[in-house]
Parts: sequence; C-alpha cells; structure tokens
Amino acid sequence: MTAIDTPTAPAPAAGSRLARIGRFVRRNPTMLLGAAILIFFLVVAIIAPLIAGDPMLKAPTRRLQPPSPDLRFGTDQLGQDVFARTVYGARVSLIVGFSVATISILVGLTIGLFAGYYRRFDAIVMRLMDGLMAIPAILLAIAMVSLNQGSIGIVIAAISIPELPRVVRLVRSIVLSVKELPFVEAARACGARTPRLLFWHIMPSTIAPLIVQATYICASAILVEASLSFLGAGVPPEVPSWGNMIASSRLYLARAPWTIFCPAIALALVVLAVNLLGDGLRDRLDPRLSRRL
Amino acid sequence: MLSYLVQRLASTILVMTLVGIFVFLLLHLSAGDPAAIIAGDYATPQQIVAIRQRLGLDDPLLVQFGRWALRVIQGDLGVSIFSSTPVSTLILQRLEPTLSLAILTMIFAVSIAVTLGVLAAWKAGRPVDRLLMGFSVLGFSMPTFVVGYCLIYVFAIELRWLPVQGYRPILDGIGPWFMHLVLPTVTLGLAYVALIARMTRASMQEVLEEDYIRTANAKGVSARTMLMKHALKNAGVPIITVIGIGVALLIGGVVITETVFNIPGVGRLVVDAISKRDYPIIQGVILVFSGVYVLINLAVDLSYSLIDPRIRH
Repeated sequence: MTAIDTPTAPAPAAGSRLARIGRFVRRNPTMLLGAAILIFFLVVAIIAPLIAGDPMLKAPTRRLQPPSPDLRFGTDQLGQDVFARTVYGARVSLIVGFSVATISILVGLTIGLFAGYYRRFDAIVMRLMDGLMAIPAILLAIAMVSLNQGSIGIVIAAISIPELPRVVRLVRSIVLSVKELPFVEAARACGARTPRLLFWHIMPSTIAPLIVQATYICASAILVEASLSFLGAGVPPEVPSWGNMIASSRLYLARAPWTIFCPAIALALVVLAVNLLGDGLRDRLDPRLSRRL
Repeated sequence: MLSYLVQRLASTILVMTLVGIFVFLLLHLSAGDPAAIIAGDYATPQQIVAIRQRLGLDDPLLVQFGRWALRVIQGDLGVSIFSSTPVSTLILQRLEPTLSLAILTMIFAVSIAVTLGVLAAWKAGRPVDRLLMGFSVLGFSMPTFVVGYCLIYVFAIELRWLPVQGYRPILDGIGPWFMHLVLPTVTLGLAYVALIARMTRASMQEVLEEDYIRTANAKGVSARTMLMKHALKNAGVPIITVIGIGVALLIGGVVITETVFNIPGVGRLVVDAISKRDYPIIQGVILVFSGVYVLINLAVDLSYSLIDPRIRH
C-alpha cells in the first residue's frame, strides 16, 4: 500500500535517463497534458498583474467590443476588459480549488483516522457523515453562503463541508483494513502509543489514495465555486471570478458571445486539466481506487 | 428480508433526522440573528422582536427544534418571507417543470450511458473505448451552465432549431413541452451520462472476464445476446447504485439548468430566494430534495435482491 517507487535499474549514462523520461512521457500523455495546462494557469494566475490590465476598470465608451489585437478577449457590457477579468478569475478558481482540497483532506483525514480506530467514535461519526451526504452539496453551500455575508472564506468553507464525507469514508476504510495487519500489531507490541500508531504507522497507507482524491476534490470545488457564483451565492459579484463573469454577461450571449465563452473555456480547461492529472495519478498510484464513490 | 427492511427504514429515518438537525442548526448557529434573517433585509427592529416572540426564538434550542420538527413532519415547511405563501405550496406549484426535467433526464441519461458503457467495455482498449472515455472525462469537466450556453448558442441562436429558453406545461400540448425540454435535458444529463457510463464500463469489464461469458461465446451466442443477457444483468448492481448516488448530482444540476433555461421549477425557486434572502424557501427545498435523494437510495438498496437473486438479506 505504501507509495515506494520500485527501484529501477541504475542508469549508466545520461542518454538512458533521457530515454526514461521519453518513456514516461509516452506512457502518460494525458496526465502530463493535464499537468502542463494546470501549470500554465498557475503561472498566469501568479503573474496576472504583469500581463493584464485592471480587471475592475469600467470604460462605458468601449462596451461590448469584439476581440481585437488591442483587446485580446474584447470587452463586456460594462466596458470591462474580458482578458484581464479572465486572467484574474484564474486566481479565484485556483485558490478555491486548492484551499478546499487541502482543508477537506486534512480535516477528513483526522476524523477518518480516529473513526477507523475507535469503534464508538466511528458509529457516531459515520451516521453524521450519512446525514451530511444526503444533503445535495450545492444546496448546502447555497444555504451557508446566503446565511452569512458572501466572501471567499465562506465559499471555501461551504464547499469543503459537503466534500468531507467522501474523505472520511475513504480514510476510515483504509484504517479498518490496515490496523489488523502484522506490522501495526508489531508496533503496538513494541509499545507505540495510539497517536504514534495512527500518525506514524497507519497514516502513510492513506497518502497515495488521498493524493488522488485531492485532485478530484479540487476539480469539483472549482466547478462548484463557479456554479455558486453563477447562481449569485458565491464570491461577491464585483470579484472577477469566472462564474460571476458568465452570470453577469448571460443576457449578452447572442450579441457578445466572447463575454461568456472566454471564461467558460478557461473554466472547462482547468477542470479538465485537474481531472486528467487525477486520472493519471490514480492509474499510477492506486489502480484499484474507484472513482467518485 | 423483513428484518432487513425494518433496519433500512430505521436508518433512513435516522438520516432524515440528521438532515433536519443540520438544516435547523445552520440557521441557528450562523453569524446573524435568526429573527433578523427571517425578517429579511428591510425589517424594522419592532418587526424583528415580534418575529422572535412569534417563533419562540427565546426558548431553549432543543424546545425550538422539537416544535420545528413536529411541524415539518406534518408537511409545514414554514412561510416565505417575501410572498407570505407557505413554502410547501410554492414547491407544489413549481413541481411540474422540475419533475418533467428530472424524469426526461433520467430516461435520456440512463439509456445513453448504459449503451455507451457496454460498448466501451466490449471494445475495451480500442479507439471506440478511448473516444468514449475521453468524452466522459470531458463530461465531468464541463460545468452545467457552460454546456447549457453552448447548446443554446448553437441550436437555438445560430441554427434556430429549438427554443432558447422557457417552459410550456404538458397540458398545452406534448409537442411544445418536449421541444422546450430537449436542450435542458441534454445539458443536465451530460455529467450524469459520464458518471453512469464510467461505472457501466468498469462493472461490465469485470463480468466480461468471467468463465460463463467465455462459455456463452464458445457456444455461439450472438454478441448482442451475450452483452445484454449474460453480462449486463450480472453487472447491474454497481450500475444501479451509481444511478442512485448520482441523483445528488442531478439535483444540483437542476438548480443550475433551470436558471440557464429560465424554467420556473423548484430549482429556480431556490435561486430567486438567494437574492431575496428568503431563507425559509432555501430550508424547505433542501429538506424536500434531501428526502427525495434518501428515498431514491432506499429504493435502490431494496431493489438489489430483485436484480440479483444471489443477494439475500
């Protein structure tokens, strides 16, 4: 279960290392494509101020301009630069995606470890997770956001909570199967206490499946954030996020399709990239892990 | 079987109770004052005090929950702040479009997805399979509203084959009703198709390696009979399970699809409630949708022994 690379034959020369990289690329084309797209968007998000103008600047004189060499993606109904807004939108999507993945994995891992180890805690936690799973994620998030003032933090929390049950169940099932194995028993016999047993001996088995799960959660979080913003229950409307852009320009679909399709294509590309990366990691790290269940 | 049934029903009731507790606590533990939230943004302080007294918000939380739960069990989901209409009435008024969309999508998605999944498993590793699985990753990655706008742009605005938006009641004629639902159904169904097709392929691939499939092939059964009769029946349980779990996906999608296509259904009810901060509506719809989801999955669990006689409880 632990993710240890099988030792490969020692490379005698640089030529064979190149060959090995070449083989890796040939065997995982889609995974690397996903990684490349994701890195591209990461770089764009980081250097946004260098490549794009002010995403909030409204210029009523240049409303609904089609894309031109000067304005790469045209302008929207408020005269805002669609290119700048799309570039800055990458920041919102990636921050939400990574934060939700990190938070739900860390919290879910902790709960799952204890649930798998302590019977009584397990019974309570799993019933709570069943209840949480029965509430459609988008509706739960809508309720949480509409009850509190909308901000990126609330949106991240509202998306993370519905993702928890999946992580907890995954971790718990691994703990249940691992804790009976001889090496755990040996560690216990050697006098390892429960926290050490859980975090030092059992937790490593959960890492490979959790990395895969984290990519899927990241992809779904980006989708849910965009959906929430689109419905008016996401990040505040003035923030340039892809969902907000599509929502605010939706009446101009026929007249100015670029206002919708530029953020839409960016959104689909990022989610696709994360999903491709996740599928590739799953095939490499844990072929038995079933998807999204 | 009977004891299993009782056990499953008990756990369903437990899950619904938990959903109720979550939804109840969401309002009472949120940052603001529940009375102020229920009163809406334009209420005067006197109105807020009146609401607090009327709803008994000064009572202990447990007493409040008991009172609220009793009303919900009787079908009273509270009253909308904005229209002063009972939430249950509002939901019933908007049930027809949502049910039409959901049922059409189910039929469309399951029939397409199972066919594609069986085909992909049969031709595993071949170009057809790779194409279909590539399509399914794409189906997961395309946001529902993006799919919707792409379809509207191509089929309604450019080609003018189908209406852009709106809904016609089924009583106005089945033709217009259906034409208005074609694009929403495809939009909503895409992610669901991807999910079910993937599971069908995985489950079928496992079954296709069984000895009895080799036997069936050896005795000269046609490919169609082999796939549909021998393999699909035995691959059924995981497929039905994922259809049930996927209903959650469908419910989230309904909210978005109804907004994109301007369909006056239960999903739009929620979205309209967001901007008006009409919390009783959001709460009521969450309870109803969660209940539907739990009941569908109960039905799925109970159907296992019908599909696969090897499963006995």
